[in-house]
Amino acid sequence: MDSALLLGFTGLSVGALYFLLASGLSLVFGLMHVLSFAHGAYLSVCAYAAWAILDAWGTEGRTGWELVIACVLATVVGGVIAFLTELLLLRPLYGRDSLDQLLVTLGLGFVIVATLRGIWGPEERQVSLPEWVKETTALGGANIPNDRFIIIGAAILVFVLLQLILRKTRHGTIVRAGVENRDMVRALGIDVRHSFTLVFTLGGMAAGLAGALGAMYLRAVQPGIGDHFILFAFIVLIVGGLGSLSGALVAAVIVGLVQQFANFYIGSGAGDVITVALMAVMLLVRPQGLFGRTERVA
Amino acid sequence: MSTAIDTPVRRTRRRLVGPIVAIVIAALLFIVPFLNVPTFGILPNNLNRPGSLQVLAVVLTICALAVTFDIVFGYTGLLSFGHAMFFTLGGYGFAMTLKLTDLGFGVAVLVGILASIVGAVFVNAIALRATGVAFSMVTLAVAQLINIMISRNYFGSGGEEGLTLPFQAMPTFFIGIRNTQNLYWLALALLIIVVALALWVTSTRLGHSWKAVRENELRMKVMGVNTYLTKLSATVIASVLAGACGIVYVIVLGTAEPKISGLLFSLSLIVMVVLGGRGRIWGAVLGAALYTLLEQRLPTVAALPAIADLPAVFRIPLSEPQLLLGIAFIIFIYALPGGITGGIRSAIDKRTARRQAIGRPATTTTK
Repeated sequence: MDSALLLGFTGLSVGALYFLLASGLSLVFGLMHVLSFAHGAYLSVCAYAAWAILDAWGTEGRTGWELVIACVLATVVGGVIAFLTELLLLRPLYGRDSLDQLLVTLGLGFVIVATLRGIWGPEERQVSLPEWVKETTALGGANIPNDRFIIIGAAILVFVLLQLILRKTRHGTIVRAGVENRDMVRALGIDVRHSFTLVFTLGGMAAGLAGALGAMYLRAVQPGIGDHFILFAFIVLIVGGLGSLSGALVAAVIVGLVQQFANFYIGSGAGDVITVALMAVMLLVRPQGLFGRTERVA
Repeated sequence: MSTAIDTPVRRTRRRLVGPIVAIVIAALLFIVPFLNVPTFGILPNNLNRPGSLQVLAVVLTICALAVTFDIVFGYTGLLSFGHAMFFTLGGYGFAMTLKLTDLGFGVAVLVGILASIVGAVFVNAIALRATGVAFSMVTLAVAQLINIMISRNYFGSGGEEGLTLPFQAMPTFFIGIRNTQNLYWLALALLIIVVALALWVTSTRLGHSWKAVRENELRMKVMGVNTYLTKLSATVIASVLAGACGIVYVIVLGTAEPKISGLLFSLSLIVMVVLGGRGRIWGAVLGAALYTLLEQRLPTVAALPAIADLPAVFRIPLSEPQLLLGIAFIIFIYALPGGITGGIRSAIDKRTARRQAIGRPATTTTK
C-alpha cells in the first residue's frame, strides 16, 4: 500500500512535469498549428539555468529561497527565449507552409542542445539542493520525498493561472477563439499574430519552469534532458487532444501514473512501452484525443 | 548563333550530362581504395587506409539511407519521425540472427530483409491511416517502442552496449582491417543500387503519382486515385530499402548500436534531406555526405591544438557538428528552401534563361 502511494505521488509529479511542457505545446499547436520541437530545448536550457544558480549558491546556509529564485529565473529565461524565437525566427515564416515552422523549431532544438553540450560537456551535472527538499514526509504510511509536493503544486498553480489568463483576460479570449476558428477571428479584424507571441512565450515559460523542476526531480542535468520530456509531452498532447488544456492535464495524470505503476509492477521499461503504445492507439482510434473538438481550450 | 538554345542536339547532349557525370563519380569512388593520397585531416589518414575507408563506408551507407528517406519526405511529402526504425529493423534483424542463432550469414541477411519488409508493411499500413501531424506522431510512437525495447535489452537485443557481430559467423572477406576495402565497396554498391532504384522509380508513373500526392492530395482523390495505396507504396519501398541500408551499416561497423533507433537519428535524416534539397535524389546524397562527414570528423578535428586553443566562442561551434548543421539548416529554410541542389538548379536555370534571352532576336520576346 505504501509503495503504491509513493508510486502514485511519483507518477503525479512526473505527470506534472509532462503537463507543464505539454500545456504550452498544446496551446501553440491549437492556435498556430505548429508542433514545436524547440520547447524541449528550452526545458534543457532552463534546467541548466536552475543548476547554475543553485550551484553558485553552494551548499552552505540553505533556506530554500534559492530554489524559488531558480524556478522563477528559469521561467523568465524560458519566456525570453521563446519570445525571441517567435519574434525573430517564426514570424517571418507565417506566410509559408507550417512544415517550415516545424523545421525551424527542430533546427533550433539541435542548435540549443549542441550549444549546451559544447559549453558544459555531455556528462551529467549534479544539482545541489537544500536538504529539506530531499527529505521525506510520512503520509499514510509512505515516505514521500518533499520535491514531489513542490512539483505537483507548481503544475496545479500553472494550470489555474493559464485558465485565468484564458478565461478572464481579453488576450486569453482571443486565444480561445483563435483555437476554435482562427480565420473567423481574423475576419473580425483581430490580429492573431499578437496571440501567437503570447502563446509561444507562455509555453516557453511553462517549459522553463518544467526545466527547473525537472532538474530538481532528477537531481542532475544533462543536455538531452529536454528530449526525454518532450517525447512524453507529445504523448500527453495527443492523448489529451491538441489545443485542450484540460485534456493535457487529464492525460498527463494518466500517462504519469500508468508509466510509474507499469514500470514498477510489470517491469523496467514496460511503462514507457505502454504509454507510447497508448499514443499510437489513441491516434488511430480517436485522433482528436480525449477532449475532442467541441471544447478545445477549456 | 541567333537560333534558340534548345536544338534537339543540345537537348540530347544535356540529357547525357547527368548519366556521364554519375558514371564518372561512381568510377572515382570505386578506385578510392587504390589511391594513396593525403586527405589533410578530412579523413583519419591517407585516402586508402582502413581508417579512412571505414569512415567513407559509413558516409556512403548513410547517404543511401537519406535517399530512401527522401522518397518518403521529399517526394511524397510525408514527414516521418521514425524512418530510422526500418534501418534499425534491418540492422538488428540481421545482427540478432547472427548473434543468437547458428543459421549463418546468408540467413541473417534474409531475416534482416524480411524484418524490414514485415515492419514496413505493418507500420506504414497503420500509420497512414492517420494524416498530417498524426502520421508523424504514429511513426514517432512506433519508432520509440522499438528504441525502448532495444535500449532495455528485450529479446536479447543487447541493450545500451549494442550487439557486436560474432566474427566467426562472418564471411572471411568482411573480417579484419585488411578487408576494410571490401566493406567500402559493399557500401558503395549499396549506394549505387539505392540511387539507381530511386532514380528509376521516381521517374515512373508511380513515382509521379507520389509527387502529385505531395502537391495536392485532395485533387488526386477527386481524380479517383486511391492515395492511401499511393502513399503506402512509397513508404514501403523506401522502408525496405532502408532496411537493406541497416544491414550494410551493421556489417560495416561490426556492431549494432541502439542509437540508430533513436529519435535524434530520425530527425537528423530530416536535416540531411533539407540541407541537400528536398525531393532531389542527389540532394539527399549530398546532404547526408556533408552531415555524416562533419559528424564523424568534426570532434576529432576540434581536438587538434590549432582549434582546441581558440577562445570558446570559436572552439565550441567548431567542435559541435550539430550546432553548425543546425544553424545551416535554419538559414537554409529561410534563404534556400530547395537546399544545396535546389540552389544550384535555380542558378543554372537563371543562366540558361539569360543565354536564351541574349540568343533570341529582340522582336520575338513577346509570346
